[in-house]
Amino acid sequence: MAFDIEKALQAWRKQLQQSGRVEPGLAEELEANLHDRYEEYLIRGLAPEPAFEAAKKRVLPPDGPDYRAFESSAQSRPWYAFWKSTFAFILPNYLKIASRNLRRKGFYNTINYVCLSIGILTTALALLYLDYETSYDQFVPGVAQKYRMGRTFRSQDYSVISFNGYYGAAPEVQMKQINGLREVQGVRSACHFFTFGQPELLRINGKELPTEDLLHTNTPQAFFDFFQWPFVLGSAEAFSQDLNTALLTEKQAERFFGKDWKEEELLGQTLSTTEEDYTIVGVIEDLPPNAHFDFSIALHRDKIAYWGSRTYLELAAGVSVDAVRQRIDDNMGNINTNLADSELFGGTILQPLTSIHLNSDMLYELKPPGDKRYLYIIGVISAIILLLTVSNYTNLSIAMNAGRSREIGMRKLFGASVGQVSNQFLLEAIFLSFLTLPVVLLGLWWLLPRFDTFMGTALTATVLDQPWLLIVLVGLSLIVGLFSSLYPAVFLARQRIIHLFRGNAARTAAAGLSTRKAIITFQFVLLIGLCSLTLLVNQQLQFIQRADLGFDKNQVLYVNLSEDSSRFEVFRNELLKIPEVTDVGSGSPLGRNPFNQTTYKLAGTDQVFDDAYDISLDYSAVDILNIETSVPEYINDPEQAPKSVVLINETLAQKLMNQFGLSREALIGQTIIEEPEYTDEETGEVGFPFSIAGTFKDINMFSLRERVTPMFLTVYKDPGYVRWASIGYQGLSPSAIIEAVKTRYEALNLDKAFVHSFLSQNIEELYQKEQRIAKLSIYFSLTAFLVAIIGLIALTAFLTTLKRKEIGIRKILGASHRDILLRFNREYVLLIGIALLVAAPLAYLGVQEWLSGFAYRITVQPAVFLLAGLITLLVSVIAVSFMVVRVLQSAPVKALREEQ
Amino acid sequence: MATKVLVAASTKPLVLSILSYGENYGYKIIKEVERLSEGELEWTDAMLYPVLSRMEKEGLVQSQWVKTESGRRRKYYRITAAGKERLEEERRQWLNVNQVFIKLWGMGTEGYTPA
Repeated sequence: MAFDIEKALQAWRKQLQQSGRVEPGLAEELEANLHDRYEEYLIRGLAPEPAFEAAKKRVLPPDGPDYRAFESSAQSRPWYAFWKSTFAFILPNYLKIASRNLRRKGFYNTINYVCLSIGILTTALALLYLDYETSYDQFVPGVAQKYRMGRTFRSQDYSVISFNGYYGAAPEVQMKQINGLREVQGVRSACHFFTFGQPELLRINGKELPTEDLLHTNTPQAFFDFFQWPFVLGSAEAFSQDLNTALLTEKQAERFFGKDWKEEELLGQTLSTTEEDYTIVGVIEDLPPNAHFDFSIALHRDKIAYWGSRTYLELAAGVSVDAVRQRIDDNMGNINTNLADSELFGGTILQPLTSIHLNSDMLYELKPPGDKRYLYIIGVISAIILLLTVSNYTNLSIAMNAGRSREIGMRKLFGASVGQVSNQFLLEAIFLSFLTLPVVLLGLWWLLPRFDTFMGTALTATVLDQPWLLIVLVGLSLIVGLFSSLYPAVFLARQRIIHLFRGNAARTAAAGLSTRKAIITFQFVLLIGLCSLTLLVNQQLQFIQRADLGFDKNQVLYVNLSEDSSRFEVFRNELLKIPEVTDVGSGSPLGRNPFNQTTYKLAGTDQVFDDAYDISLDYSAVDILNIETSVPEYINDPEQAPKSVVLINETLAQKLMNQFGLSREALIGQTIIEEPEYTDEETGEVGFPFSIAGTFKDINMFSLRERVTPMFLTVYKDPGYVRWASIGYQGLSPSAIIEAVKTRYEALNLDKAFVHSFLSQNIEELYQKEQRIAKLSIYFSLTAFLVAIIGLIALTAFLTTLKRKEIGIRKILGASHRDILLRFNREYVLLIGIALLVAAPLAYLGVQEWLSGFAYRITVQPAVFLLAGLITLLVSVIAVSFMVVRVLQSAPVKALREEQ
Repeated sequence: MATKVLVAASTKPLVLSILSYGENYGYKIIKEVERLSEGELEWTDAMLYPVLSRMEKEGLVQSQWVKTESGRRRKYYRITAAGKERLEEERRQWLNVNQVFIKLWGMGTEGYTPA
C-alpha cells in the first residue's frame, strides 16, 4: 500500500494533541516544519515512509526535551502563571459555588464559623502572648553583644554585684570596680546602677509624692549608651555632665507637672529627696513594658547608695563570652579585691540581656522572671483548641459534603482533575476562615485589655495598632482554613466517579465513618487531657492555699518603719491602744522570695555547710505568727526570757543529729559558728558563734516551690533598728486596720511614705503565676469544651438527619426512645474509653513535669483522669441525646415519606 | 553540543540576527543555525516555536502566513524595530563577554595577568 502523507500527518496531529507536549497554537506551524523535513529526507533519497518517520523524530524527538523543558531553562515561568492561566479563570465559579454552599447549609456553616473564629482568636492570642514573652529586651540596640553580669557566691547565683566594702564603698571604689571591668580585654563598655523598689518621698514643683523605682547611677553616659532610652527633653550629655542631676520618665513628668508638662518650664527645676537636691535635666520616654527592669526617675549621683549594683557589659564583636568571663575572674583582684579574696566567690556569670526574662534563676531579680513552662502550657493549650477547631471542621465538612457527591461527579465528568475538585473545598474553607477576620479582630480588641490585666502583660499597648497583626491574622486564617479542609478535599476529590453517582448521601457519610470516629476519638483525647490538666493544676493550687506553712498567715500586717527602737516603742504603744490589735512585733517579714544563705559549722567539727537562712524576729512576732518552738515559756513571757536566743529549725536539727550522731538533748546547747570564713582581725575570733537554745517547727518562709532548708531564727527582746513592724490583729476588716494603723503612723511624723502589706497577700503574690495559669487553664478548657460540644452537636444533628429513616423504621418496629438514645450514645462511650487510655498517660507526664517545679506537691491520683473522662462523657451524652431527642419527637411516617 | 543553558541564552539573539538579514521561516532558521554552527547547535523544532511565539508577543518579531507555490502554508517571521534595538543590545553584551574570554584565554594581543 502506498504511503499517504496526508493520512500520516493526520495521525501525527492527533497524537500530538493527546500527548500535550506542544501548546495548541503551535501545532500548525510544527506541521509545516514536519512537511519541510519530510521533503528534505525525500531529496536525500529516503523512501516516503522512513522519510516521514525520520522527520517526525527530528521535529519532536520522543525522548528529547519538549517545549516545557526548554521553557523552564530558557525562562522560568513566573509563580503566578498557573493562577493566571487556570485559577483566575475558574475562581469566580469556585466562589459562586462556595457562597451558595455556605448559604444552603447555613446552620452547619454558622457552627463552623463560630468554631473557626474561636480557634483563630485563641491561637492569635496565644501567639501574641508568646511573642511578647520572648521579646523582652529585644528593643535594646546591639542587644546581641550586651550582657548582664552576675556572680556565684556560696552555692547561690546573684544578680547584684557587691561593692568592695559593701555599703561603705566610697565613690572611687565603686568607680574603680567599673573601670576595672572596662579594662578587661573584650569588654567594650560597662555601666552600673541600682533601682530601689521602696517608695521614697520626692518633692518636685511644690508636690510631695511617694515615688517607687528610683534609679541611682554614677556611670550615666555609659548607662545611656548601653540602653539608649529615647529622650523627649534634654540629653544624656546634660545628665552626665554634672553631678546631682535627674531625669524623669514621661509618666513622672505628668505626675508632678500635670498633663501639659511639655508647656511647663520643667528643665532646671529642683527635685528633693529627704536627703539631697537634684536638678531636672531631661525627660525620657516611659520604659517599654517588655524591659527586664523599670525605673521612674534616674538620679546621677557620685555614689550608688546600696551594697552592690546591677552591672552591664557590652562585649566587642566576635569575642568569646566565656573567654571574657574567664578574664574578668582572672582580673577580679583589680576589680573587687574583696570578692577576689573570698573563698565563697564562685565566679562571674555573663547573662545575655535577652535571656534574663525567661532564663534567669538568680537572687534579687529586678522583675518577677517569666517561666518557660507557662509558655509551653499556653502554647499546648491553644494548639489543642486549634486542633479541636480544625478537626471539628474536618469532621463536619466530611459529613456535610457527602451530600455533594453528585456535584463532584459532574465536575469530574466535565474533565475536572482531582486537584481542581480539591481546590473547591480548600477555597470554601479558606473563604469561611477569612470571613472570621472581623470577628477575630473585634474579639482581640475586646479581649486584649482584659488579658493584659489578668496576665500582667502589655499586649494592648504593643500590638493592637501594629500593621503586622493583620498580616499574622490573615496568615493564620489561611493556614487554619487550609488545614481544616485538607482532608475533606483529598477524601472527596479522590472518590471514583461511579461511586459518586451510585452512593447516596447517607451511605457516603457512613463511608467516612472510621475517619470520623478517629477524629472524634482524637477530640476526646484532647478534651480529657485538657480537663485533667485543669483539674490537677487547680488541685495543686488549692493544696498550696491550704498547706500548713508552719505559721499563721492571716491577720498579720507589715508596716515599713526603718527607725530605731525608741521610735518603734512609741509606735508599738500607740498601736496597742487599738483594741483589735493583739500584739506588735518586729523582724524579718515572711512570704517573700529567696535571699542569700549563709555558711556555718558546728563548733569542734570541720565540715562547713552553706545552705542556711538567717532570720530574726522578736518574741512578740514569734507569738503573732504562732510559730511552734521548743521554748514556749520564753514566747509566752518575754519578760522572763533572755535578751536573745537562737533557735534552729527542725530540718537543721535533723541534719546535725544525723551528721554527727547526736541526740536532741545533746544538740541543744551546742555551739554553731556562722560564717566561719570570717576572722575578726582584732579579737581573732572566728565567725559568729552562738549556742543552740532550742528548735522550732519548719516554716515555709518562701513559696512551696522551695524546699525548706536549714534556718537560724534569732529571737530577741529589744530590737536595735526596726525595718518592718508586724502587727497582729483580730476582728477588723483589712481596710479598717490599715486606716487605724496609718493614722498612728502619720502621727509619728516620720517623713516617709506609708508602705504596708498583709502577710497573706505577700504569700498570694508568690503564686501569682500559678494563680494565673490555673484560671487561664479553666478559661481555655471551657473554650475547648465549648468548641468540641458545638462540633459534636452539629455532627449528631447532621447524622440524625441522615438517619431519620432508620430512626423512623426502628420506632415503627417498636424501639423505645431509650433504645434509640442508647444506640446513638453507645458509640461515643467506647470512643471515650479509648481516648481515656491515650489521654491519661500523656496528661500524667505533662502534669508531673509541671509539678516537679514544686518542692511540696500533690500526688496525682488516677481518679482525676476518670473524673475528666466522666465529665467529657456526661457533656457528650447530653449533647448527643439532645439532638437525637429532637428527631425522635417527629412522627416516624414523615421521615419515611422523605426522599433521601 | 552546546549546553542547555547556553542554548537557552543564545536562542533569541541568534534568531534576531538571522532575521536581521531578511524574513524567514522556522525550518529555515533551524537549518541556518545548524549550518553556521557546523552542527554544534542543533535546535529541535518544538523548542523554537514557543520562543518565536513569545518573541512575537514581546513585539520583537512579526509573522504572517504565506501560501507557497505547492499550496502549503508557511509562517514567515520578520524582525521589528524593537527587535533591532534588542539585537543591538544583545550584540553589545555578547561581544563584551566575548572580549573577556579572549583576554582570559590569552587569545588577544594584550593577554591577561592575574591581579
